[in-house]
Amino acid sequence: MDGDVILGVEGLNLYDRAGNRLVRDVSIGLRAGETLGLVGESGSGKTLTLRSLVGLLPDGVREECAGRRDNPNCAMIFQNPMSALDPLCPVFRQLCEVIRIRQRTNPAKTKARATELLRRLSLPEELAVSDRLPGSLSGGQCQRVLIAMALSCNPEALLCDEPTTALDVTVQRQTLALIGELQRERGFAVLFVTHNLAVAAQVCRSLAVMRRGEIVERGPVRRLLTEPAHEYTKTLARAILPVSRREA
Amino acid sequence: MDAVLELRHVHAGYEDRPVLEDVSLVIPRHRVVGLVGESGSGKSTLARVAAGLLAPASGQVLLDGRPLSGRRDKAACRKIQMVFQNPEGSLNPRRRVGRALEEAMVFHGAAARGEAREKCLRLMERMELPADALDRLPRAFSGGQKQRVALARALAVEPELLIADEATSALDVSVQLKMLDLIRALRAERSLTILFISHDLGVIRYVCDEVVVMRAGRILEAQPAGDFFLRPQTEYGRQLLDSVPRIDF
Repeated sequence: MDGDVILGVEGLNLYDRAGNRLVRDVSIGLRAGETLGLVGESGSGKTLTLRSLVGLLPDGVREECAGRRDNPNCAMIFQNPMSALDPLCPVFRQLCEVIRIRQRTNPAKTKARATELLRRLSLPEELAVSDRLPGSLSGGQCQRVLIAMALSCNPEALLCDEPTTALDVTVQRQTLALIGELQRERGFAVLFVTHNLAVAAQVCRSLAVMRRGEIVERGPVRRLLTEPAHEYTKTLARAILPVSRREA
Repeated sequence: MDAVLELRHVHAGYEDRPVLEDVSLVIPRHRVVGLVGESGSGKSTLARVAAGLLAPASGQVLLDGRPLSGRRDKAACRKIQMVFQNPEGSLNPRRRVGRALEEAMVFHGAAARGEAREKCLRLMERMELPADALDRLPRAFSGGQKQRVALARALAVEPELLIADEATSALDVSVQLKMLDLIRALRAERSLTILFISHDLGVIRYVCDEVVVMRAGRILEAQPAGDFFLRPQTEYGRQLLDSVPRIDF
């Protein structure tokens, strides 16, 4: 794919307070419309890398970047949708707030856009006229509200941190399909962090495998899954427990 | 068929919130029964009823053909052991692993005081835990090791039925695979009977002989695993199966 890198970092190093290196020499570059999965297990540094890209590093983590970095207009969705929403503020008001601030719209237009987004994400439209709080929505619905907020920023890149890990499989399937659809529709780039190779393969064209703060292997999804070169990629690929395809 | 545990028309729940509705289930001896369902389907409530931790509002729970009383007596405790998603819940943080295991063995008569230590050592070795594991506190283990310690604690009293409630769900995928391989091997060696609860159909397929699908407090279908994965009997079973992310190349 041609074009300039719109989201990326070169030679990223992250350290904790004691000076231990958490992420070592990580380089990532995404062009418009590209999808990259960042895969690894706990402690591999994938979430820290993502957080560094949006400038949301936890307190005490120091970063050094040897090369260039490109931060486009990007939006992020998180693993636990419930905790990413204010539990005491009606869902629709939270969505409107993001639209009003990011798009500088007047109240009438804000409401119209928010309602449009509810419809696009198959969320109940009565949310627009009720004061329902996040607690009264399901996990999948909350995640769709967050995706709606992300879209309202018209992002050039969507950063996803295990967005379906806390969801039931049937809801996970819908959510992954939705992210894919929206990505094709709007052409934003996707950086998708997950521990699950099979999930990454649903959304992404290429993958980067992280272990202990380093990228150990990267390449197209198909190549990585069929002919993994690094021992750790093989371990991850083996850990996928498949289910057979049922008879039609 | 020789059933270790049987639930007959069980209704159960908490205070004013009913969860299980008319649940009947047979767990045959030496079989691994997989219980699958999404959050809120009642899987864990069923596990609590099966373990005698929650008395049913109506219906019967039979252990070896005899009614299981609502309050766990000592014999039932020994016969039914559980492993949970979070191993910390079943390990006392201030007690060395060896002492916890030996005490459980002696209390339940699974070993005489003199031979308990030796038995624990062999168990640790079988769990592929380091030799000094018995002298450590639970916090000195990684997540995967801790879960193997919890499994050792459950197996130490030689139960008739092991209930594993999302026992590998919090582990990293490669660690999960190791743990599942261990469960498969132990199951063959010790002829264990297991009620294996998971939301992950890939995991269920890897370890279970039978599949029971739950939704909204009811059992929708129950059949041998081989049949379920080819021909689920219900629309919901098909939906679950089709939702698992696949890699098709």
